[in-house]
Amino acid sequence: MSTRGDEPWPDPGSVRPGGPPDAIEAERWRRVRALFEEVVEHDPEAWPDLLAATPEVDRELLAGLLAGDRMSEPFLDHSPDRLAADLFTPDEPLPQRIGPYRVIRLLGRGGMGQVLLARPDDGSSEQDVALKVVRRGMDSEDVLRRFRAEQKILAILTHPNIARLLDGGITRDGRPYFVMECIHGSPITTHCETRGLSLESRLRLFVAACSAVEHAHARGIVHRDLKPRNIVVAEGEAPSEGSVKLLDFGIAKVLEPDCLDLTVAHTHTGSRLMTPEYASPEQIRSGPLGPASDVYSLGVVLYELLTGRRPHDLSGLALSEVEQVICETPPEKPTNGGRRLSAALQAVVLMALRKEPHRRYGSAGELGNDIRRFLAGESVRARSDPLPYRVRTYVRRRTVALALLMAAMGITVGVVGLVLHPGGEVPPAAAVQDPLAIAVLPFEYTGPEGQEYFADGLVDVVNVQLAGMPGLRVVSPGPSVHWEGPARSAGDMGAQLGVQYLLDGSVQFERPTDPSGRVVVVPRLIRIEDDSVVWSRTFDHTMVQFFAVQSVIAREVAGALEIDLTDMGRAAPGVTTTADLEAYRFYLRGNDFLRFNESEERLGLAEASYLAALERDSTFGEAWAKLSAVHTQLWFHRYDPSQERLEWAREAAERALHTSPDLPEAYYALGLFQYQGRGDLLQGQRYFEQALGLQPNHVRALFGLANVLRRQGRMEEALVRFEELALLDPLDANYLLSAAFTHQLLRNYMEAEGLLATVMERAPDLPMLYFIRAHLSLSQTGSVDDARSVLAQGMGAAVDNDQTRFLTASLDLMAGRYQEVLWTTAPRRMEVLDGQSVYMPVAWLRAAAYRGLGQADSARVQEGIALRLLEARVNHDPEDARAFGALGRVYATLGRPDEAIRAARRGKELLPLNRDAILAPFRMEDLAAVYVLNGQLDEAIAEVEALLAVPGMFSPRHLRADPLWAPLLTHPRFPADG
Amino acid sequence: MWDRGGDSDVNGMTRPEESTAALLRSIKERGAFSSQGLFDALYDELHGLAQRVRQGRAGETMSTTVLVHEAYVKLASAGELDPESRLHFFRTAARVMRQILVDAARRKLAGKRGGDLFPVTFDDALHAGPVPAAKLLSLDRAMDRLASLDPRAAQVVECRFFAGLSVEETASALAISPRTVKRDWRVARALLTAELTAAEG
Repeated sequence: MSTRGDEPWPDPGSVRPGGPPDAIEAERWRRVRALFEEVVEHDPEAWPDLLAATPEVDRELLAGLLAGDRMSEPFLDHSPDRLAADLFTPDEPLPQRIGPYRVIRLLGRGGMGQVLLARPDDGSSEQDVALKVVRRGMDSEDVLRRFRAEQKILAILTHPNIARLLDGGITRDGRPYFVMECIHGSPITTHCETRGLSLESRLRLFVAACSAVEHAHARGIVHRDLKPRNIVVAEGEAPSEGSVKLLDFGIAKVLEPDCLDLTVAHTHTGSRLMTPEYASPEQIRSGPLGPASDVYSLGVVLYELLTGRRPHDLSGLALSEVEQVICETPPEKPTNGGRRLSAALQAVVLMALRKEPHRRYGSAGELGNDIRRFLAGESVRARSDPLPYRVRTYVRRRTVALALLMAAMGITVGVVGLVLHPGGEVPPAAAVQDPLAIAVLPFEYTGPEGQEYFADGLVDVVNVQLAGMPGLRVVSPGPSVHWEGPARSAGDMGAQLGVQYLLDGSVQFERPTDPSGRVVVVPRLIRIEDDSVVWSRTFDHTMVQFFAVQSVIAREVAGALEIDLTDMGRAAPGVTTTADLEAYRFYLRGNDFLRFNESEERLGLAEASYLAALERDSTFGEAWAKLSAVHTQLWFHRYDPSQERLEWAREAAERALHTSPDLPEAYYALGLFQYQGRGDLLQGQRYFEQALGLQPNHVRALFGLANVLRRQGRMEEALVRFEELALLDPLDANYLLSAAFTHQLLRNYMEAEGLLATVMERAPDLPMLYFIRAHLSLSQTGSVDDARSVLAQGMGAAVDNDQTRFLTASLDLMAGRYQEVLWTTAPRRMEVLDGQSVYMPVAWLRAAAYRGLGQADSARVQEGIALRLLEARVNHDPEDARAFGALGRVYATLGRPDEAIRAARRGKELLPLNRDAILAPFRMEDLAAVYVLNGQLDEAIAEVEALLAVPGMFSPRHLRADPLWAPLLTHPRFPADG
Repeated sequence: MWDRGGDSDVNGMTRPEESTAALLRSIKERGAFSSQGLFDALYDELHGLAQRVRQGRAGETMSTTVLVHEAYVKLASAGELDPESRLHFFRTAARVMRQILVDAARRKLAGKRGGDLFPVTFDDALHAGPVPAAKLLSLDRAMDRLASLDPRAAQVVECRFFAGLSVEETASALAISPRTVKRDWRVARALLTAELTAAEG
């Protein structure tokens, strides 16, 4: 683009720096510059018009200036420091060989070193590779170590859109180098600009990039340095032409584990000079990084692709200013020059750019999917945030006085109303409305001929399920009704059938009669009023799971309708409408606190919220029910183990039923109280089933039911329900974990392993995950070391429980790591390990360790302590089966066989299989151990056989791994490996 | 002509800081701005600093801002600099930095045989080698044009970009308001960007 006007531009050679300006030129410049400053005060969308209004003589120059203003010019927008560094570096001569590669030429210099074009020297391949040699100063031992570790992880990243890390090593002078696939192409932003790609094309490229990043996210790998330079579009011949390639995966982590890519005008050594344009707030702050950090970086790239500039202009800012801008200043709404961007697309970008990681998309895949939805014309998940993000200060302490809480919430309540009801309106107190009507239409069927009845069956089941919902009228037009397509006929259909919603969709079978054949079901819930698709999902499963899918669809539709009903202020099935808006708001607030986890703090806040709701409306059944559940949870997780708490739970549940006799939530609360509070499995089951009868899609009731069935030993039935739950809520890894655990109890180790792998990817911090995995490992390989290293992978909350600690110590004892056990059990505060299946004084573990080390005196002292503690315990709580079991073992070790048998038997009696099928086997194991320690091998074998005959965590390999069972290994009836 | 090698203590001259400070004092006394002399002295100083940095600790990074400030600190400790001299210093230092970089870029390009100047289609931005040197020279030419139209804006660019001074420092150095600095920078940047894009064809 030329900046020439109609007068000749000064010839470069003729202008001396600092020479007197040409008068006419200067006058023109003053004029155009004034115009420029005026125009840029306006919205960029208005510029074309304003430009058209300027005198022609000035127009071209002005246009040039305006274009220059809009463009990002990396050269000027960064400081010249890197440039300076580079200019002052004498050129190093290129090495000819590096490792097994022959260097062809220099491709360029990056911030961390040189990039060379190379080829394998042995002629094994004609394929060019890009070899990155790290520059001097980066070749430390530390970097090398990290590099090796990273190499292992990166080796698993094989994806067509990820430039592979092929090799790595050290040069002769000790610098690390990486060998990567050589990609010929340009950064995605440049590629789109120079080709003038349409919005759609840009988005498709971007989606491809997201898929690639998602490949890594799904494997727990975060890129950490996403920017257009690392998102390259290949150029050249097909088939690579136009395909997206991600570069530099993991390199950033190797070279900069803690701090990344900041322009820093520091003077101390080691600080780096790169740009922070794409860094997320948590990166700037050197905080922990997760996939959401990559999402942010992708968001910046997306912003740039859509608008031609980045969300923040950081040029010339000092570091502290940069930090402030990135971490606090909200980005400008993205607009594209003269054209407005669709609101949905804006929402997607802004969601990716949220300051708080947890409010962005959770992974690159979710971002990509939302853009796919946009491209397909569906509604996106991102919602624009009606609140400035700062207004989120929750009251933190659980013991906050209720009044204070209410006052604090009173201030935010109005705001809360906005947040939970994006329409901006709070549901008005409603009188009973006309029941909602929905028509379930035949699904479009694709598959072998003559098998259409499978699809019909699906529709039937859905019908039946929906018909069971109060407040919903279901219409099923017969096959004579023709259904053309959603857009035009919806309104007619609606009018003809007298319904507000339609459910239709498609079913595609591969081989309906083959259990392993695939079926893809895509239902759609359509709101007639505005022709919108309110809900849709894709189920892609095998036939075996198809039957679970049927009921899931019905439940989801019901769920989707329920949500919508709430929005419209109608009585959602089962919800007691309270006339008091404030009460309702407090209720919703309480629900919100429980949405993500049930920590002590959140339970407390929820409790206060529900109480506040009930203060305003003491007949608010739902609030009573939820309050009851909170009480039960507080008791069950031992945050408040008092009897009084349990009484409150019961009272609240009963009041709920009293005020609202058919309230599913009330039955759920009762079920929870019976199961978790009183340990009464049958009563629990009864109430859960009642809740489900009233509201088939009550997820928590289903989960409760599954757990209760499992405790009764009805494993298969429990499994079916866990699998349903996993389909209902695929994002919640808890259901997968429960299913995995159930498989493990059934000794279906392959299935368990598969599910656990998925859980590891999704939620590696789930409590008990490592406990379960370690046991599985032991069952499968019998290797104590393998199991022990599984436990070592877990961190923080995931292993911060006594159950896991006990297992860890036990494994260490089995492996003979006695000193280790002494160290880890040293802290004074741990006197007893108190878990669901175990009550064991730490002294007992220390005693075993001392024995292993040959320190008999210390061992005896510890044994005495352990004995005292256990005897006190059974005195204090004669129902504690675990303590009896532990006592049995202790007596047996101390050479008191009869007392040992008595204690262990008592433990077994207190917790029979029909009382708790998961925990009872542990007591059986205690008894078997006692027999072995006593030398009563025949009795021991009988117990072991009984143990292996029921589902449980016990397996023959466990026996072989634990030296305690050694005397039993030669017994003729010793079970073979299953 | 400018390449004095690594050490700036040369030719029996008194220490450069002293000579610069003396120069500044004499400028004040004479009431005239002897730009060339100051320029030369500062060039030596900054260039020498840059070279020492480069050849010194491997991990040390270059920062024009840092160089300019370090030079200033040295000067300030060698003799008192009144506010007016201080302004002169920064203004000149900015020009000096630009010149240093341009000269270094010319040297760089002169050393090349030609071939690598043309970008390969591989990740364009990686060409921190040949391309920035050429680009810097294009920028230098564009700066000349800018200076002929709007000298003050060109000075702003020198201060902000080449010397890495902040908005406030630039405002002091040029005796203008920060708002003017921003306005100048914006239009200067627009022109330079347009010129650079045109130069790339």
